[in-house]
Amino acid sequence: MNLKKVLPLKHIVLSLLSSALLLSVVGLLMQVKTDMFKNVGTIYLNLNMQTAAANAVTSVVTFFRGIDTVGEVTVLFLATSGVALMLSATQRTCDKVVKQESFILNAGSRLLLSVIILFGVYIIIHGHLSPGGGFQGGVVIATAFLLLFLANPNMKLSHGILTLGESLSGATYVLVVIIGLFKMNILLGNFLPHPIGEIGELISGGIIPVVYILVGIKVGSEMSVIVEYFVKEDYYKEVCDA
Amino acid sequence: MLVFIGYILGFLGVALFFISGIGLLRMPDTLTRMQAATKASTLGSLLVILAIACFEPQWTLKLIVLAVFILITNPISSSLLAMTTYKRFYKHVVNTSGADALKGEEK
Amino acid sequence: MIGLIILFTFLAVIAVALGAILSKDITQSVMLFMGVGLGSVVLFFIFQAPDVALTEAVIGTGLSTAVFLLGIRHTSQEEAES
Repeated sequence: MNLKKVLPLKHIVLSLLSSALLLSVVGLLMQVKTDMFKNVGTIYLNLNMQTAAANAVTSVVTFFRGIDTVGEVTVLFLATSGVALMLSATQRTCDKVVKQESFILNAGSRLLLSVIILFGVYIIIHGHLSPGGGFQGGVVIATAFLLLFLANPNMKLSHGILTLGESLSGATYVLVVIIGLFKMNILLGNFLPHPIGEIGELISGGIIPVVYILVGIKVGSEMSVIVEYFVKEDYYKEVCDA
Repeated sequence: MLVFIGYILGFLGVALFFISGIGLLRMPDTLTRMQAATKASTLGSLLVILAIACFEPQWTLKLIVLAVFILITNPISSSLLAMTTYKRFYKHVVNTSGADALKGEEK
Repeated sequence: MIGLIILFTFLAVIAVALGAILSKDITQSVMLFMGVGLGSVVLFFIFQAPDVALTEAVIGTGLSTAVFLLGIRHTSQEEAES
């Protein structure tokens, strides 16, 4: 708590010196001709016109490097399976009711839940127009459920619906990748119509919004399950082991 | 004229942030520090939002949504912090009526 | 002006990171680590990477702090029992 104890004068001076060093290095780097850094970015920006997505990062993530996103989704699925496997065994045996937190947090979390989920859905759907996308929006939805579980640990998510949504969206994503292979002869080919004139509109960019919505559903359900297991493990340990 | 009002409101908001920062450093314990930090910064951020609304009148709707969000979330978090602090450190302090002040909250 | 903001944000991030390393209380350390995340959100936004800034704001400041705090609560109970 005491700032003087945490940050003595010696450390402040040290941090000032090190940041001055860092800034001088950054300044030296700024002196370098910027032409040598321009290549990759300009090439991607020129290629971005083909995909008709207003957000250039989106077309890199879901289109030019789309296979990476497939791999990331697989990694996240494996992580969720590991967490569920590790933590579900201890929670199945205990059915006691945990004391819920204060009334103010309960009322506030119910008030904020719909707003936060709406914001997450907005981020997912507008992923090809503005910053954000499937992964960020899914995690925003998961933080809404984190708030709900912190307020009332007795709340239960319907695991059937979550499993159904997660597996269906994952399977559809792989299906989209393979359809692209058959119709356009490349993996993740943009087989839906994507005229450049529609750039900046909500329905534009061919498969890019479809892929982001699928990734958003998948990430949202997986992260919600992870959050649920983490919070409940803590509370159940307090109640059931006592 | 609107821009002038915006400058005044923005200056007031930033001054309140400054005061809350001073309070955060100078106050002796957690509850008084929280009082300085939350009250002044809530009013300060609302004033800054009003100032931005004066500068850019077409953003007003979004800024109202932001202000409502701040008005909902800030009291919740500060009340939770205060309650946790009370339960952890001030449970033994008995007030003048001799009863636990938060007795009604714990069911 | 923008250079001044960048300079002060860099300084604040470095100071908060030092505080997170040097502090003895682990909860305080996690809170200061959240401050590092907040500062880097500002830096990412200034350097025109709003996607990364959004990811850092959601994960680095929201979820990871919650998971850290839950972990601290969990392990401190075990330490108190043993």
